Amino acid sequence: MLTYNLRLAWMSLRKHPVLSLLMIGAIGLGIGVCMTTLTVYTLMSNNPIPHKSSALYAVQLDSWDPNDPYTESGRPPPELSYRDAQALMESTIPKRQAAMFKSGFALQDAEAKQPPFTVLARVTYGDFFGLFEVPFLFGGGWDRSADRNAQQIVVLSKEINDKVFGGANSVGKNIRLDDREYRVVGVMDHWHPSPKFYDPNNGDFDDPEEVYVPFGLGTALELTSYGNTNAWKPEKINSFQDFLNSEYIWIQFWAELPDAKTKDDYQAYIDQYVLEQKKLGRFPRPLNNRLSDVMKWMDEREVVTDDSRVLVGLSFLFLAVCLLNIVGLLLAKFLGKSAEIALRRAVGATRWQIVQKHLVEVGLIGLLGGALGLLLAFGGLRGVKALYGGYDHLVQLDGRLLLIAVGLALLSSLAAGLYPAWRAVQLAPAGLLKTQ
Amino acid sequence: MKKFFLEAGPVLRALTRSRAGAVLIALQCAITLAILTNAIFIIQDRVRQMARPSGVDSENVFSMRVKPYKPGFNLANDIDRDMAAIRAMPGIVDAGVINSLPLSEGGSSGRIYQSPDIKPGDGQFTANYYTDDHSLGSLGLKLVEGRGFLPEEVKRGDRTADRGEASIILSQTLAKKMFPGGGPVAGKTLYTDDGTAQHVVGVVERLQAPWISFGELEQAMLLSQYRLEPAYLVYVIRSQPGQRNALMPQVEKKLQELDPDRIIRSPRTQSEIESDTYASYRAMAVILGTVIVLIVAVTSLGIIGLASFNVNVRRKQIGTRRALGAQKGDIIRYFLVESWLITTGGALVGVGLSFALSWWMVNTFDLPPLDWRYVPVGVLFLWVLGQIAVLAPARRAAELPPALATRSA
Amino acid sequence: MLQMTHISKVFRTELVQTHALRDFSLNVAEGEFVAVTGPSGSGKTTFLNIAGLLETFDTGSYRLDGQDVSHLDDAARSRLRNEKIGFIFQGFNLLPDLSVFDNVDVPLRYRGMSGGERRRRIDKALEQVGLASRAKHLPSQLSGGQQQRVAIARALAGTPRILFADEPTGNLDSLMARQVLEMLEEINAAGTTIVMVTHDPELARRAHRNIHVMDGQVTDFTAFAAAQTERESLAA
Repeated sequence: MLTYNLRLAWMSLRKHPVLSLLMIGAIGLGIGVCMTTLTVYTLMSNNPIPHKSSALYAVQLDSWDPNDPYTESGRPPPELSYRDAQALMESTIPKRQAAMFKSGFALQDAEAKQPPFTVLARVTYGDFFGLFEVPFLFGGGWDRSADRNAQQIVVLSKEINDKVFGGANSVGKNIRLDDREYRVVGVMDHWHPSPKFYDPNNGDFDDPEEVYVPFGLGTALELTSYGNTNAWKPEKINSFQDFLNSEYIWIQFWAELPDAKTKDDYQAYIDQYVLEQKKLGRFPRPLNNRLSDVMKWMDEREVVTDDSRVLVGLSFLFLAVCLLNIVGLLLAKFLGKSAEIALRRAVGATRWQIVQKHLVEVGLIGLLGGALGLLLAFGGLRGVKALYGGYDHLVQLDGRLLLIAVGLALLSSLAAGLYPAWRAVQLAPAGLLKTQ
Repeated sequence: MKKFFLEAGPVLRALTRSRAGAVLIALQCAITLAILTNAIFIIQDRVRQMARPSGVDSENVFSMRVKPYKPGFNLANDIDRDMAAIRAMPGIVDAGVINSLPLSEGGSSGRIYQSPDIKPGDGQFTANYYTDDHSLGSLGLKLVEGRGFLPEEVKRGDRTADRGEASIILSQTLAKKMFPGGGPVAGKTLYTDDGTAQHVVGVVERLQAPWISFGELEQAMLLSQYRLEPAYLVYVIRSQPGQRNALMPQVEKKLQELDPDRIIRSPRTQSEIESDTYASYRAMAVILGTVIVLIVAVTSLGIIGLASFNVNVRRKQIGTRRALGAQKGDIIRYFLVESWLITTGGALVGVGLSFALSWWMVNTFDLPPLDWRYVPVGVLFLWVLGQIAVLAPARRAAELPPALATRSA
Repeated sequence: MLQMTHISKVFRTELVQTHALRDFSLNVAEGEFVAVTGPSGSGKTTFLNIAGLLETFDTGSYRLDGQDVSHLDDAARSRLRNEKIGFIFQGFNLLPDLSVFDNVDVPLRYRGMSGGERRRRIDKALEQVGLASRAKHLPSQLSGGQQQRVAIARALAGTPRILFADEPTGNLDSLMARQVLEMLEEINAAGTTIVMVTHDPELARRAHRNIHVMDGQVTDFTAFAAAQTERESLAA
């Protein structure tokens, strides 16, 4: 019956090409616009590390101004001061943990043959790689002693290794960062978490850094943070040491807490730490320390922009207009075929069979419209890329979105077809007989 | 016109007896109106924000960063040498150093107070630009009071260097906030958040902060001090009108020649910086604009489709009317009145829907509420759209021969 | 085969109510060929609609092929129409977009037959009406008489127990009308009951029995035998 109905549907579409194109076009436009905005939205709300996102926690301590909370809604600041980050690193509760900040270097080959170029760097603990399951091509990260001793070692991204070493195994070789020699201990494989969840404060869709060096170097070389640095109270900063001892916040901190108990223990630990600090006259605000897993963190940092949400809302309203349009056209079309419906009823088709026949036709329109919509979404996304200029290789349709598009097209067209099909079968089959 | 409304009664009665089709079109018009008004309002809001001048002579200003990579460089000497060389180049108006640029999305901010006796919640937010005595010329800022920095006022050094007592130049908006009473501002003293005195020497017409999301975009000041730290410094250069694009690579080359042991990076024009910063605003406006065009097209096609269908099913009725003496104009008017009634019905619902949509967006997101004046304009547009869309099918109907009345089916 | 007892049907609109049928009773035996005549508005179309299960009635009872069909739901009546009833209309009512073959196929599609069985039946029905060679044509490529023969093939393909014909020759010239009529007689001779509505007395005379409908009631029976003798004399 389905193939029969499909054949009839196809003939019917061919019979009224303008009408059919109008309907396919309307669904296509609706789906195209929805898929474009939806793709951007899902991209922003993507879980960058799905199998582990609920075990990774961003750590926030409320060290802010007693008279003026960090945000109006009372959230603690997103980053830590250096001294608090140092203190938290002493805990043995998390399975892994890492304090980190973003910096930069001039990178050059060991013999200084090529001109140097600038690279972005992440200054962090060796746990960083295990914490975020960074894939390695060669070698690996470093241990705690390298962090403490500020060893001049480095992990390279795949892109930098390709550029400097032509993709060869460079572990054990040297490079120069700001004219100091560093030994390569690891080369990462392609790694591109999107959004860049571990540091959304400084560019939520930026590429990951290109080189990674031990945290101890940050203080040893007095490296400058390229990210935000915030303060709430006046402090005399006369030296780098003053800066490290200050309440300035600029360090991101992540802990891996695999189960509820560990999380509770850790929450108790950081609360205890802040209570002790309060005795020293720090942390003037009420206790307000937070552990946010990856998705909660993305939400808190408002990685999905309001604009994106507004556009999704408006595009679904637009789809609604397209569907209303189609309902009208289908109604006209189906009622125009009353003679055929009456005949089919007369020779024994049940109401349901007639409804089925029409829904198949509508479904076919939906599928064709969905295909058109995907094409339009493809174009739309190219446009979005060009407009925003920041999302480049991130904006793309994947299998899941393809499925959503087809499902949405089918579902919305069937919804649009239901009323016209129902109206069509209300016609009495008796209307055929001539003599009245 | 009178005839138009006289017709409305019978047409309305005909409409109410029939037609899911009319209801569908009316609903379509309602949603269209809601999207139209809100989208145009948002577009207009974004365009207005993008149009605010940054205060910088954006068309002629460009900037680049310098990263020395040999340890032991002397940044103060480098800057003096570089600046002298750039200023000597033909076509250059002025050049200087600054920690960041308006609308560049990175920089420094703090609070500023009228008295050293700081109370919580006092003071005003301000963006801080740490810079030298060439800042007015290199940025092309327009001085409205006082003077620029003098060479002897400029202090520079290590990390403590940007935290001392210095001269400051305020944006006009900030000056008005700090001195609401008016009168001359130059010569007064203000205080940064650790109570350090800052001496006002001038006021510029306009100077925007680095971040468009900054609550007080128009509140900013220049300070005559800066830190000698490559990551915190930008070379900012202003060319004679029209020479920017030619000069930018020349300056880059010159700097590289002066010292090969450094990386010259991120050469960018100020217009580029501002345009990139507003990319998401522009994107929003363009996407919404596209949606508007599409929705108007879809709704028009809907109206045309329904009218064409009605012409077809009423062929005999129209023929009969013609046979009974209706003129072509009467037939056209019938369809125009019908479309007007449908769009009006849609508009009635649409007005409510427009405000509902706005209410949702205001409550869910940080958007300003819809300006009500957009709604009547939207309704007017809908009426015109309805009349234009229905015109072609109506004229086709008017061309139907009266003889149709006597033919069967 | 068909037993209607005290059937009545009233059409109501806001302003008027019309008694289309009142106390309408009729028996048609298996194998009969009955002609129903009457002036416009007499109720003969309503009768045909009710008899063909296209419409419901208000009071009375109706047995078709031994089954009480008075209170069947729409799906059951659809199935009966499909399996036991064939229709032939004045306007042929072929679907213009479908080929002759596909037109005959329409009722079979709703019976859930295998493809082979459908093909066999369609071929046979088209053979029977002499249009086997036109299977691929569209209705618009055929003459009126041929179109009506396609419609007859469509009715026959489902091997109905009873055939309802509504002015089957109304749109045909006399030569074609005779062909169609002869075809109906052949079908009847093969055992299918036929009920034909017409206002052509010529046509009615060819039936076994004439029923005259007036104001929604049966007013006149012409004896089966009388028709029979007339047929014999015509044949002679």
